[in-house]
Amino acid sequence: MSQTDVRMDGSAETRADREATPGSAGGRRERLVTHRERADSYYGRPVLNEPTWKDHDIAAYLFLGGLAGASSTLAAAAELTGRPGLARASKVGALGALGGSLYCLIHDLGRPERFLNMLRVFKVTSPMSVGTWILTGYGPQAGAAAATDMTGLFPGLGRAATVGAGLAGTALATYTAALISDTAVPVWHEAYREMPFLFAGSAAASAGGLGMLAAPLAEAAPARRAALLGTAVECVAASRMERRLGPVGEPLRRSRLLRLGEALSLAGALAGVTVARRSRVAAMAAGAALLAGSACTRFGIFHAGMESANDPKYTVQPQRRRLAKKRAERELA
Amino acid sequence: MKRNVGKVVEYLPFLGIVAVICTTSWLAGRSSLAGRPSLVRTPVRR
Repeated sequence: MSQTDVRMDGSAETRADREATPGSAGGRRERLVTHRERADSYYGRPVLNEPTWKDHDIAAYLFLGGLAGASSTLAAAAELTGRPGLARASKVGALGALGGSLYCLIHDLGRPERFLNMLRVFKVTSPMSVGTWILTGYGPQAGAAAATDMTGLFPGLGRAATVGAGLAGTALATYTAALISDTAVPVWHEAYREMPFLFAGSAAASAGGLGMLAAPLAEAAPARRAALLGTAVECVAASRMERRLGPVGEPLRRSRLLRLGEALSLAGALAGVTVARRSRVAAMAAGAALLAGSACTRFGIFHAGMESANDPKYTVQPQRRRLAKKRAERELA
Repeated sequence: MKRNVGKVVEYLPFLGIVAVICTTSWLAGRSSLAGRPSLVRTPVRR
């Protein structure tokens, strides 16, 4: 009998209670490591806890927030250049998207009070805190812009609210990129350079799509241009991001949603500057394609991030690369 | 099968929100034409 065996009867020759060696009775004995684990894994287990975010809440919030913000900016541009039809359609669309994004955010938080509790502080280094305040500052202006336009009351106030919402809308459309890049999820974190451009482009494309879908053909030229520019920025940012991230960018390169999003956005934007200039039906189809493309891009980014959080190699590899780089720098110095 | 149905149900609020946004926006765009005779198609009286 081994001295380290633990017995229930507390025999004199055994070391019991606090003296006992944990797991020495055999069943829980520590296993010997017979081989080195692979350098890109952590015993095959995820290093990070997967974020508890659900795609139908948070990916939808990313899409709807971008649509609201960019639609307000488009509405302000349309109002200042004398296009009331496009301005009204964009203002109403922005208000609807704002309502939808608030619903998704509060559904994810669980209780509405949690959103209000976030207003108790303002922390400039926290994208979530800054985002909450952007949303709070933007919401009333977007509401006032839509309400005054629909009722015809207080036109001066409506114009001021439209311009204010247009300015705050640019922040609303892009802060979500900082929000997800500030997490430990490898794909989102490593893509911090391109993510704001990707989100800005995607938001502009979706707002352009909504403008093409809803506004009269004669006034939809700025929406078509926004859609084309947004799609170009989105595609360039996405391809640059996938190349720069190297092995960490694998989930992005594998994502079917991202490929579908790019295809739909490109098809919508190209249709927008060709057939949609003359045909109402084509304009609506192009607008719908742009909206669907932007939604696919946001959901694709979300799912790629989740995939990278669940696979330890996307966490371990960049860490090891950074360590190797530091070591090399130290040796050179 | 049941799991797929559950998945689809989870996305219904999002799809509903997008449908409402598109419809209200389209109606707002149409309503802006009402007071502007130059953009409304009217029958030609002979």
